[in-house]
Amino acid sequence: MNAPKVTFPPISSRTERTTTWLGLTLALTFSVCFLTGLISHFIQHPASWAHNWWPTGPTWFYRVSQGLHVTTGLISIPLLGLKLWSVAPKFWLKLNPGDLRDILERVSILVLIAGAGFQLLTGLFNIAEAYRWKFFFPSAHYAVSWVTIGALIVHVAVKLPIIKRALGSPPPANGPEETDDTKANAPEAPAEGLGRRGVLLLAGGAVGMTVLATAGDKLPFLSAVSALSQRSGNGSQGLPVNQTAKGLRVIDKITDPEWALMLDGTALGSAAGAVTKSLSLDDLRALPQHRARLPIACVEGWSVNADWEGVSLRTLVELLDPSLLQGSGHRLRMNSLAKSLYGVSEVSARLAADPDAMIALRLNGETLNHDHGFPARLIAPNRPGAMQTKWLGTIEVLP
Amino acid sequence: MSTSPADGEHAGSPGAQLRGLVSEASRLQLIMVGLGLIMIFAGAYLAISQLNSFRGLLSWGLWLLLPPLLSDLILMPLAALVGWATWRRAPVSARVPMLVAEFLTVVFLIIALPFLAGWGANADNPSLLDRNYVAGTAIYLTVIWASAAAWALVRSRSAKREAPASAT
Repeated sequence: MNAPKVTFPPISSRTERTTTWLGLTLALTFSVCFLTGLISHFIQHPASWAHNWWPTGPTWFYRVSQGLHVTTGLISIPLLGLKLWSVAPKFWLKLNPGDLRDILERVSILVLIAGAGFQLLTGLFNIAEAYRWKFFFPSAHYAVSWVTIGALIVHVAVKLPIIKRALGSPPPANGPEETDDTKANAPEAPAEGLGRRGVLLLAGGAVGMTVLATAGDKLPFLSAVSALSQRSGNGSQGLPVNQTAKGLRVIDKITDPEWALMLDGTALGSAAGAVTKSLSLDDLRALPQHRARLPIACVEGWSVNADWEGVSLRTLVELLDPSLLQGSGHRLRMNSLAKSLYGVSEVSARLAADPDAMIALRLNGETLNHDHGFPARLIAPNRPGAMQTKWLGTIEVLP
Repeated sequence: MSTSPADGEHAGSPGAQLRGLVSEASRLQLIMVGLGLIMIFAGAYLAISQLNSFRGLLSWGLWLLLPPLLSDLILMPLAALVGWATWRRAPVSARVPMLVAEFLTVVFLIIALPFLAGWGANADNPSLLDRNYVAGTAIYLTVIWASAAAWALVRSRSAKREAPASAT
């Protein structure tokens, strides 16, 4: 090999075992990130034949799942940095144009680094709501996740013999280890280095620092030290908000004294007792009130628990047609008065039957304020905050 | 690449080379490569189907090519340079603490960048990005470098204690 004489202190860390352990750790964080990402994607975009796939509980599950998604992505940043460092001299080796294996491997690694970097950086920027691009982040992040995990599987397949060799060989009893590769690249390797254990400890330290610095908007006990969390967790009525009433220009509509929540059962046809129903805020307050402690868990990773009070969706559905809750049930579509990407969401039949899925009128003991969705909003267990539709105007029963 | 044969061993047409690669791969490897390729092309199809303008294409290209370019042309050379300088210039007992502090500093600054830049701030929404990110960054970097200095001091003291003992 035409290895250039590039020396990195600490050279002794660049060994197959170190690279393998860093790689396997990354494979684990990327896998968790991918699976939790798929969960979040398919809750928001269920297949047409699987509207009911997602369970209604435990109530905290999505909160944990999305917190893991964001956190495994963030800790992959230092892990990927160390992984690249551990193999860095290879990136500058001359490509041999006649060697198909070399070409294919480099192309696959380019795809992997491009995809992984795209996912980690756009994910990081999305947490900070820094949309410095001209594409729609959720769709782009979803598409590139398949490319990245595909390239990761190809990479692991190609490196399988090295992984087996590295895991199979016992580490030397003392001091840093060397392979022919590092000897060739490091004629002047210093005697002292971080060593394999040192690099893995450094990886652990960097992961720990990243969690401390960012996880406070998911784990309130870390809030004081999380200098880089998206939020402090404070907000009006004890809850942060993502979309404001002022920002979406909805204040006039929600403060209109004529406001009423429309229940639209047109799709049920004449089988229903009443096809549509209009409920004023006083009508809603007069119905049986349900209370539940449920989190708002944002796709961006932050989450906060709150006490909600309002009318269960099943109570409203029964007003239209008591028979609706028996049998297969119906999906519901929540329509906000605010025109935004997240102004419409669907509630599966399974969720609509859960008493904790409700039209909230009160939050933490007070009437909802404007930013939290006054006069009425959806709150339901185990789903993304973007689907907890605020400022409701109409609830449609879907066929 | 470490798995590449030495120069001269890969003679033959690309087709012959490809047949050689396939014949030496295990069944598991072939299945994994096949699955991976399906996922890559499915993802690429999803991505391409979203392209709707030239500016969008540029944006995609930029965000996809930025990581490998940044890594190969800036981050890795920077790591090599800073690491080399630290190893050659810093006192022996300060080398490892400094390398650790340098790495943690770069990681922290990369994650801090979009928060420090404040691109996502929204005057209507005081609950979003509501921390003092500059002060938080300053505190983290101070703690990192103070810890590294304390660590170097401890290492230098224990090295001095051991030195006379081993000399006798």
